[in-house]
Amino acid sequence: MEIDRRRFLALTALAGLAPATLRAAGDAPLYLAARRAGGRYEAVVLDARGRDHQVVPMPARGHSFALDPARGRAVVFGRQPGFFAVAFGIDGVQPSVALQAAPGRHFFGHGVFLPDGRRMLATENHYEAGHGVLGVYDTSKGGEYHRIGEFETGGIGPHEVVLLPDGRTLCVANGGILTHPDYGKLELNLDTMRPSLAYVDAADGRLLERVELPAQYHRLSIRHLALAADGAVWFGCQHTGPAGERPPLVGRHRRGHEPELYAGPDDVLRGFRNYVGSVAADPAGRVVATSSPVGGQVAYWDTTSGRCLGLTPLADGCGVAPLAPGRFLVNSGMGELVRAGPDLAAHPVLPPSPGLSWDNHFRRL
Amino acid sequence: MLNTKRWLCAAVVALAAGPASAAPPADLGQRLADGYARPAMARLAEQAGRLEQALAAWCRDGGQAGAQAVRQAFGDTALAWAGVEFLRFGPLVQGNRYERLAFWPDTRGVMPRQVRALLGSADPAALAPGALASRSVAMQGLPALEYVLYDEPGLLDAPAGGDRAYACGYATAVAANVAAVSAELRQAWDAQGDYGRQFTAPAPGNDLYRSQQEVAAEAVKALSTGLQFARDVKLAPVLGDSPQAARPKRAAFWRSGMALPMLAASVQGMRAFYGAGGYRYPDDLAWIGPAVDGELGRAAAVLQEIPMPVAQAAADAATWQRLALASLILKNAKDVVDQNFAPALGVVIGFNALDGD
Repeated sequence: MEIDRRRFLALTALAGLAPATLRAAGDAPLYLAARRAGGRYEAVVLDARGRDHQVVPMPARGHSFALDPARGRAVVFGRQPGFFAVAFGIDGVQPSVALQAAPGRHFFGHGVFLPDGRRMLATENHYEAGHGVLGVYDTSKGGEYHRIGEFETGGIGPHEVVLLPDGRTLCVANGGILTHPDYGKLELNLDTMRPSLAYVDAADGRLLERVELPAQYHRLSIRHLALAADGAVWFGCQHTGPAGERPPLVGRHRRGHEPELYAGPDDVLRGFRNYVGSVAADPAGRVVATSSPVGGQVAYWDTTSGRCLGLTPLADGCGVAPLAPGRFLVNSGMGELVRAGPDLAAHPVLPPSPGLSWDNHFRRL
Repeated sequence: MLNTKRWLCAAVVALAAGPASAAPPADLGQRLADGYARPAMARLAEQAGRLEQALAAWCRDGGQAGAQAVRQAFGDTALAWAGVEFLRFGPLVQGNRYERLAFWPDTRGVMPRQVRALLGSADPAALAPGALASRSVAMQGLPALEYVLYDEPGLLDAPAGGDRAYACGYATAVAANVAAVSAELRQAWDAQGDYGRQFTAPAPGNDLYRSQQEVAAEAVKALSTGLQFARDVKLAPVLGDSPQAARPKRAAFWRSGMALPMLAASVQGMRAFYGAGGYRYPDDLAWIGPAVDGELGRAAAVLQEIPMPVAQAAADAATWQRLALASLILKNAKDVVDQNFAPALGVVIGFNALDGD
């Protein structure tokens, strides 16, 4: 099921083009997102005012990014089941490199660089065996993004991966859902799902800790992650059970402790429609935003108390990125971009636009 | 390229109510339940009950006529299942009922492995009444029953004696399990059932459906994902890019020769489910109804006219083309459902909400 050679060559040619750099970066924080614009799929570097700085063409819909801010690099992954990724320079000068998924593997859409810039790790599906791996890529000088190995994630369907503040421990959200690219995203193991959070040593792949939710939540797929100021991992889930069940969807985990789940008020929980599509912490790491494009809302959480701080309604809203303490940028599948926060009504930056759809994830460099 | 490699998870496809250009019928839930879901669930429960009886009788008495009765009852039950499988919400997704009735696709061959192991062990405890319900879902449903009847040990063609008794007992137990799960479905959808009441009477205090708009969103989702399932999961992996690349064993229920009749029945079921809604449109959108009905009718007709089992049909250039045509018509139908029918009911399908990740 890998993309065929002809298509990959086309992708390589596409990636070889210098990305269009539209503006000098300056000092303002930059953001990354994948989008569909006028029927084309692209990754884009933009600023907080929604102005494009750089556009990277993509052969199909993109998802999220691995970021290497120290070296001005990023990798955008194809959306699950993704068979390609594109590495590019934020400066628009470093040449782009097209990555093809390894045989028998596809990307899930997320990855991280290690702080020394020598390795990039991506969540991938070893789909015939039906378990999750982290593909390990050589991103050192001259490494050319070669895939040099893989680590087990200790579960099925690893989705987002984040690097803990120690710079060497990875936390992986094993969503628990078995998929096979012949059947797209169709869940093949709903009866036996066992989602988990796995802590993996980025140096050698050792599984350091694996955490599951209580058994009654075995269909609560842990998908998206963000780090709070205190180093706790915040996670957002998607419930694959009946709509009438309404488990909590947001939680926190601290190493060596049991995971804690936060339901929030009933109307907020119902408003998620059993789905969290993206999680981000504000720059201070004290407020976490969790979005639901299905329910059309973003909810905010106090990372100390777990209290729900409020709600921003936004139709098909999903991408959330830190803007300022207690402030987020949020975008939507309708093309909208807003500033919002627990005590700030959505303030428009870009209006809805019929030809523009932002994908799930919105990252600050 | 027939396989789009994208699948909208039924559990996360999402629809938010938006500005309506035509409100859904005020009694939409009642129409869909009475006009389609309830009779379809009742038919499945009845057929599964007959299948259990036919198997019990044949296992006891043997004989060609009994075997033929089992074949007939299996086919009827499979067709009845095809008529409800796209109602993959509410009772069908509670308690793993969908997987217990039809664990498929089975990319890792779990079902054959587990069924062979059970037959090898001949564990009598597994055949006690109700015991299968607590075993692996892969061993509980119609694909497992098809496997023992038509493949290994191929009970329907096997001589009497030997290991037949245990396999026959297992087949009967599976049929009993299918009948029991189907009876639960019928009951849940019933006018007195919890779900049936909620689906037919949306209200602000109703925990599942607060308005007919939310019922309409469920109906749109069922049709949209049902059509995608038919095309991307059932047809595309079988067809590949050419007759030479066809993989007929990727078909659901290829062993019994029911793959194409079931697919046709499923499309007819979606057509009837759409029809039961009684949707009304403003004049400029009046074409939507005939378009959905017409495309589904054409797709079903193309599938019904294929006179051979899927294994031969997919390998033969002429019938492969017919199957590819059915696939294209299903895509058209889904496009109309997503791009025209949904917004006409005030249901908005979001870029992110639609395709969960």
